[in-house]
Amino acid sequence: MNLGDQLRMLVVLAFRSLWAHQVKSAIIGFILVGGTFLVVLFGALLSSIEGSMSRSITSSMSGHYQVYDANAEDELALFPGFSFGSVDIGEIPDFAKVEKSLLQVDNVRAVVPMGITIGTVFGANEIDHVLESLRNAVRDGRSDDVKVLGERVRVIAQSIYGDMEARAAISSDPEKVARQRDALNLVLSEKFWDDFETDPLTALDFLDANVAPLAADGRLLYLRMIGTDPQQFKKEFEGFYLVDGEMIPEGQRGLLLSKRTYEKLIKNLCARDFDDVYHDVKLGTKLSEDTLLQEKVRRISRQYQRILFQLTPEDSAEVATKLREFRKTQNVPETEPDDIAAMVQWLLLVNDENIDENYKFFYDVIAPKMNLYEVPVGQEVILRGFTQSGYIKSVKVKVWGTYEFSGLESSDLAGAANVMDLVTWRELYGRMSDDQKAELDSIRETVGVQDVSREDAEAALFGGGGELEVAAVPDAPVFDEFAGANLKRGEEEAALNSFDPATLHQGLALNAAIILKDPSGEAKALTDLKAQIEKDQLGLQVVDWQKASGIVGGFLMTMRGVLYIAIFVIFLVALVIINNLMVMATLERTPEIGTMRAIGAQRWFVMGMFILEMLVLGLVSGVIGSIAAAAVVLWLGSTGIPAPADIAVIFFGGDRLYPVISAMDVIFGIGLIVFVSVLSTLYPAFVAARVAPVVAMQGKE
Amino acid sequence: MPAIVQLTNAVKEYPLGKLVVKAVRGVDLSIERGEFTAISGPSGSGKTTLLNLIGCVDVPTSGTVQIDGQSTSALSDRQLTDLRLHKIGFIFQSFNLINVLDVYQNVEFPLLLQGELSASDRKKRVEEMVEKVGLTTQIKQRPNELSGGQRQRVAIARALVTRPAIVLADEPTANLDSATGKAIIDLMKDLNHKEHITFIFSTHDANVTSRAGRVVRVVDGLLAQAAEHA
Amino acid sequence: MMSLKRVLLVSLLAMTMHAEFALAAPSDADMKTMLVTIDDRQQNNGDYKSLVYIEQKEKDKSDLVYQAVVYRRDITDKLVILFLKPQAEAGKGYLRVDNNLFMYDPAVGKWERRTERERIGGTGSQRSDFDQSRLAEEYTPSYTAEEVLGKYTVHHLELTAKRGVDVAYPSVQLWIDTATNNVLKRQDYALSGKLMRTTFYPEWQKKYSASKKAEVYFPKEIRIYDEVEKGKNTTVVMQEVDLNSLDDSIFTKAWLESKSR
Ligand SMILES: Nc1ncnc2c1ncn2[C@@H]1O[C@H](COP(=O)(O)OP(=O)(O)OP(=O)(O)O)[C@@H](O)[C@H]1O
Ligand SMILES: [Mg+2]
Repeated sequence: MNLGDQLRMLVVLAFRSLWAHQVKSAIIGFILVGGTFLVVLFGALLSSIEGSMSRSITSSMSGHYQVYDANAEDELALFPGFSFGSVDIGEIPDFAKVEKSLLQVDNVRAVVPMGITIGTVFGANEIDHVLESLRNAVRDGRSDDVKVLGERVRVIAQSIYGDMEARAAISSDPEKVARQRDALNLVLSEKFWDDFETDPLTALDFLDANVAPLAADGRLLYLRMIGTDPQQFKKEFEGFYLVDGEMIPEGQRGLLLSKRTYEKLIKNLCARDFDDVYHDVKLGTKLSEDTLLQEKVRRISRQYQRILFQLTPEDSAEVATKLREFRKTQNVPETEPDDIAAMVQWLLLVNDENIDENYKFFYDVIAPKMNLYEVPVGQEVILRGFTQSGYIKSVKVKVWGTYEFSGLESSDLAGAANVMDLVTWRELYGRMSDDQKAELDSIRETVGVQDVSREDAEAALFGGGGELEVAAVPDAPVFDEFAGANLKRGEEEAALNSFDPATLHQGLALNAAIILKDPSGEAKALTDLKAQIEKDQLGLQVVDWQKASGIVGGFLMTMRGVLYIAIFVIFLVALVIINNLMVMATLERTPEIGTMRAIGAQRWFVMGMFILEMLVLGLVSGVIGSIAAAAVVLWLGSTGIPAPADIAVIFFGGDRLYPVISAMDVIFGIGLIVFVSVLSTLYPAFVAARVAPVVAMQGKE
Repeated sequence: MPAIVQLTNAVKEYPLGKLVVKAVRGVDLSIERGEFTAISGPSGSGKTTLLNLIGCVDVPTSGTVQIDGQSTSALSDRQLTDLRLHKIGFIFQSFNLINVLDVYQNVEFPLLLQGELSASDRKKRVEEMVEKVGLTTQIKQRPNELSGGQRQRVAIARALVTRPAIVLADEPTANLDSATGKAIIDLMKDLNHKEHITFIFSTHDANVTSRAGRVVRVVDGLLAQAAEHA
Repeated sequence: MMSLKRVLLVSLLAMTMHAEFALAAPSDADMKTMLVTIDDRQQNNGDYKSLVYIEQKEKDKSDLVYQAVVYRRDITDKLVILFLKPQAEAGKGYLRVDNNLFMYDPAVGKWERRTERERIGGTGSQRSDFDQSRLAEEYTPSYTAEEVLGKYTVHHLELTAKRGVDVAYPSVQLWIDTATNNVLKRQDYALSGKLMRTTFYPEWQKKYSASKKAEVYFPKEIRIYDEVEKGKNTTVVMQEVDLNSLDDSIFTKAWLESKSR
């Protein structure tokens, strides 16, 4: 009946002892407050990150869950990882079946088919672009265009000619340079263009073979393609929104580039760099103080030809006139050279004072006359895929527009995904049909090549010692290479430009996003999904958004891991310090303990006294630490933490993180600290309990 | 009725490095209920050791200790603790009060450990006890606010509050001036008289010894001739 | 004009060749002669057309199989490779004009400039495997040793690319049959000295050419082993060869485009 009174006494003892040993209590309390502060603060930050990530990622690409082949060799990674090696996540051969089955699960709202593959776009250099247009114009008999484009070729040839001097100086093969110069001279001559009119094809081949290679090489762009049902994708992923152009119409082939890819990869290099510099300056960087940025500005200016190349002579003249006027307003002395090359270079060589005006001029006057984007919205682009079958597959697909995921606009990782219809995607992915396999077998059979491994190639091929030279039948009839071959592209392929929207959900996909009606029922949905997969033997595995996001989820897990290790280390240190302090305190209090023991306190009472002391200290420190952490989180929650790097944007679910603190974070922090306090006092308490009552009799004051 | 304390050939040895210190070397001692016994002897003669054995805070190396007819040799630490709590009260040379508790709480402490009385009974008992030692006005004070004599009074109150069969006091007056020491002995003697509590205390002080009902003289760990007073 | 020089050279060399070879290590001139002979035998003064079968095997991957027609006009250094089968690949093709290699894909109706190391149709074969042999023109030989390859005695030569010549590999090891002067084995090295691929020519065929007024040699079979990605090998089989003259229009982009339109 008096346990309560005893406990009260213990509590009084605990508080009084803590008070009596102020220095010790302060030291331990400080450690515990600090520990709680860190645990609660970082726990809250991490939960906030998880929360915003979960929101931004589930509403962008992953859905609440992802399903893919249970026997996949690699793990699904919706965001690109470090390695560019191909990942094998297996296949979902019959998506319709999977969709039908999984939609039976209560909480599932939608199953979105997906597939990721890499497509390459050959970003041709400017002259390749022009020559191709010229070739098309010739073929279609558009003589006006031929004239304009022809002039553009001459502009480019002229500018390449300008570079030849520098090239001749460093070349190891002067003969070659001489040949190149001759070719350019020819193209710049009137005669060449007279001949062009009579025999344009030969002239075009000459330009292709002799002039185009002299220009800087084009770029090969690697684009990450997510094949899906675009309509459904737009509907189910709330983060998705269109920026430029229009949505891929239902039942049509098409590609939506991510705005990030569009601006950071596909845009004209000069303009892109100019954008970067402008934004840096807008964000407060001073050009006059940042040498790296200055270097960038100089590089942009050096690359002015990327802009000039794109201007027709008329456009050039117009730009030159406007530039001349603009320069006057900018107080540039009239004595400066006023040819277009010099003026564009001047325009691009910005400083803190003129960057605003120059940037505006560039976009108002020059940019509209350029192909700002290598793969412009509204035009068709050729994508190449290294298909599963090994054959290279090219598809032509229209870029309908660009899109973004809200909150993830400035994330390169999220921005790596370009959305396309699954029908086109399947072609790029290129799994072979049975008919196609049979066709290969029949071709193979007609020749019947013996397989010889590298190891025994020499013995197999030369060990026989037979006749090396064989005379062919001299007057064999001329063979017809086209017998049995059909090179014409079928009508059916052209018709495939549009398709029955239902086909998107029929056939191959690689993975699928599961969207829940009620996200709070996640845990149950997971069990239900697994049961359904089991029941219908779909052979799929289910992963949550965090796992599905690959490297991003991995980062989060790593961060959690780091936090836990940090907590562990902090507490290990705390444990050691508190333990030592408490052992010292025990020794100091030996007479007191001995007295209590002598007058009848059991061991457990002594132990309880010590543990309760630390429990009280832990609780008090935990509360103080949590309050401090909560205050910091609330403050950060109102100002926001800016994302320090691109990768952080995806974690922060936007450019700034507005952290919140939850009861769970606090309970976890306090619980942990109390646990550590008690743990750290177990040994000292044990030592105290071992103090013999006889010491009371030895006590001398 | 058996003796309240019965030592039979009690030996206590302390290992000290390679040596063995024989603090008590075979003591037969029997103390009756209600006796007011002084244990005297020169410094180092074994008085404290003897009290330790009687008080069950230490166990003999050989021989037996019987308290109230019960042999202690087979008891566990828990049982010995319980025995001390219920049967023995301690008064220490250096008072050994719990400094973080006030007078009232110090006196209440053993009662709480016992956990037998209701809160109100406990309160009554404590206040009564404090009054007996004459500290009612200082009841809310902490030990460090009290004089040596007052502290020892608190210690006496604490020792007596559980109404133990025996009260042991190891040189209760050593840290007090002679007047205060005398007052403490008077108090003890008074309680011995009124409440029939058995007191066993050690002392150097001949003045104190002279007031004992019985004097047990210890020399070199052995009992010398025992002089009985009236 | 090039070929005229060559004909002169070869007839000159033909007189000095034969017996001397086996006795001592060949001189620089001898080695040059060997290369010139090899090149010359394979070129036709007129045109050349062959039906080829290309097959690539790769570990854990499905085979790549093609049938293609190759057109060559050695005088003007022009080459066309046009894929005929399988159906999905038919109409794709390559055109070499001077030192440029262009690829055409009818699915998208677009030309792309490709490099010398372009893997033809994604296989281990390259433009040079189908094109006229230009060893003497492109490389400088040095002698390694006389060796034995299976049942044959061979000259082992090391070839180094001449300056300013655009070749896929800067360094080549060549094993030439001492008796017939046919290339039996070839190894291509990257600039770093890394072995990239090994090629075997187990059988050579010759056919009389009316335009050349001599026999034209061609390998009946080429086996190419990728030395970087082990287990990847490509076999090229010349199914048919025809040495009659071809229409000029074949060696243009327009012609290649027209075949699939
Ligand atoms: N814990 C111990 N370890 C070793 N020796 C001890 C221990 N306690 C006491 N002794 C020794 O035992 C002997 C008796 O000591 P004890 O304290 O009983 O004497 P005492 O009569 O109480 O002396 P004092 O009058 O000084 O208090 C002494 O020689 C002492 O040094
Ligand atoms: Mg003593």
